[in-house]
Amino acid sequence: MRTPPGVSAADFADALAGFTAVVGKDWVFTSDEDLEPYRDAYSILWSEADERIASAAVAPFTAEEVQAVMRIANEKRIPIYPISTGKNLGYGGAAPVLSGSVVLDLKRMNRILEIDERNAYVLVEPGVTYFDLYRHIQDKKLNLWIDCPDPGWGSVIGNALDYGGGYTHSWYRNHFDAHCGMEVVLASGEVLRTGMGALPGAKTWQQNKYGYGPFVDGLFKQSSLGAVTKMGFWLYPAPEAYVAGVIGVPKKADINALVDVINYLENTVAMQGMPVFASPFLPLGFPVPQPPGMPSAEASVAEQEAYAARTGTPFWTVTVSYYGGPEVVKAQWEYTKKKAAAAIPGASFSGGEVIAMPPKADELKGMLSKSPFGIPALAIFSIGARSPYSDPTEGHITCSPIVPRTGEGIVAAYELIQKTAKRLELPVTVLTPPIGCWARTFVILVMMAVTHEPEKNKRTRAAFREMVKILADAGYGEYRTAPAFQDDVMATYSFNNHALLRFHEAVKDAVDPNGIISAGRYGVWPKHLREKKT
Amino acid sequence: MGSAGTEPTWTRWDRREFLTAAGAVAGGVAVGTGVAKAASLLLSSIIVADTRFAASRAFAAGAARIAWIDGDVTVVYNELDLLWRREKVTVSGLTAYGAFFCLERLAMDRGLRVAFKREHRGAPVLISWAIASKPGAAA
Repeated sequence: MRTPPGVSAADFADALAGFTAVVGKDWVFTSDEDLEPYRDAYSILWSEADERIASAAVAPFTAEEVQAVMRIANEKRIPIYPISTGKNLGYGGAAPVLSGSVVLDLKRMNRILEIDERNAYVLVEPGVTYFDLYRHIQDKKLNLWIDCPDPGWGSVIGNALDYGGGYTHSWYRNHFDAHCGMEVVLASGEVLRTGMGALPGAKTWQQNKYGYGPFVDGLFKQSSLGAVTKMGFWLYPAPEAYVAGVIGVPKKADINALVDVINYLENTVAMQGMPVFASPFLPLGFPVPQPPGMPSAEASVAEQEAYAARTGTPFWTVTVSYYGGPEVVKAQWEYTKKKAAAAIPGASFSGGEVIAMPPKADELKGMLSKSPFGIPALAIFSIGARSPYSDPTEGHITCSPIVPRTGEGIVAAYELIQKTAKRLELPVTVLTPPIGCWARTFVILVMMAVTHEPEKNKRTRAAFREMVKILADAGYGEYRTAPAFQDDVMATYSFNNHALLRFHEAVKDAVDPNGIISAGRYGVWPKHLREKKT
Repeated sequence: MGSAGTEPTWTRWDRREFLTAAGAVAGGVAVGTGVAKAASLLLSSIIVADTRFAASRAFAAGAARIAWIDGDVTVVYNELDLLWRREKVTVSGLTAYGAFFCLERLAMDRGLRVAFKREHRGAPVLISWAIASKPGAAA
């Protein structure tokens, strides 16, 4: 049996006995087989000495059990790594950042505690998955939608805390922003409620985020300060209708005006769905059948534009979508066409059919992603690891720079990513178009293959680190990353001699003085391990 | 995908090996003995098969309970999630890797294990697999 770093075998045995007394023997895991779920299936350190491996896992059933486990861990100085369901593959999964930590697996806490149709909110525990919440809403025939990521198998709380994004209305796509109130168990075992939840008997915990005094919820995003045991979310009152349309523009430089139009529409809430930008001339990493004679991504702009003009192929397209009453969404699409046509000569339009919601089964058939309709799915795995698109990979890691919401920003970021990936010979399997899941910025996902070959993975890690640094030097920061790179990314957020990191460390030392919770998560290490590192 | 030219053919694989190993875990039959009994146990379990692949359709032939997928494992995943919360039912399949991977992760979450897994290289890669309760676990 492994022991956590710096913990004696006797203390660890005492702690495990204590955990067992709290949760029962069936919910404390120490054998290799039982700990297999707590390996990161997409680990870029797979089977290497540095792979992040848990020493044990404990799965409490209630917040009170979480408190009891935390008190024992704090007394015995056992490193604890809380997870909700550990499904954020590519960003660490269920594996701890610090090898030897005990995973605090909250999957059994899967209760939907309150759901309110009139005010459109829900209060859930960390084990509630998007599938669970979707199923509950369907079973109760509530007139509500969820906003889910793709794939949709993960925890509602876990995805929000990791800064995940979705695909429906802009007010709900940023999952952390869509939360309202949380309950957190601190390292001491004390339980804290944020926002209005700090008021005993509050009637508006899930309706007002801010309560009174400083807003502390952000301290628990990508955090090592506590275990979130309850969290509220605002849900989307089910829209009556949906419209999707496509705007095409003929020239490369048209992207500048196109993004500006979309920003205006989105920021005035004239358009609510996630804009999906694309270009046949963007390199996507994986092979896509190309029409004969189409210039490659590396061809000159003149060649590409000539081909586009000759064949009537738009240089860029953006798929826009609207949710609401049928008259409203129809008018919003008409308004969008007017704005784009006025701003961009040669803009073309297609689509625009009003579809009644919820979508019918035949309308969903064959769709790889149902997320724009708030329906969680796993179909994305059919094009993932070891599919015909991605064989023989075992998974991926993702370089995820946040990019300005401008056409110039897109072009500059792609040029830098392409140039750097080519020079570093990065095994890019997918380079996504700019993703607009959050208002005000894009994120580009540069996905790289994970293998079970240490030498290949080693080369990928080195190239990944260099890519992160080059992007940061150009002003593009990562929004999250796999544990192997969390220190590297935190190091890029270095303004004023790493003032932000030093602030995080000061808070960490104050709130978790024994440094037991999620050591190293997102680059924040407790004092005793910082001292060892130096 | 699923073109007959490159897809592995189930009948060429070692069906006896699969049935013996998977059936042993599923029903407590000793490996190497009782193949017929193992086959019977396995075929009475739930079989996950992918309509896109001839090999997968052949794999499921004769099974009493077949959960069909067409590449997208979402519906079967959700049904098994609810089922495995109540009962550690043995499930086996011949699917593409993505579907297997999702069900493998679900099985781990619900306290089951992959009792048998064999990869069959081809285009696409197919996996024959069986998921069952852990030895000694309550059924």
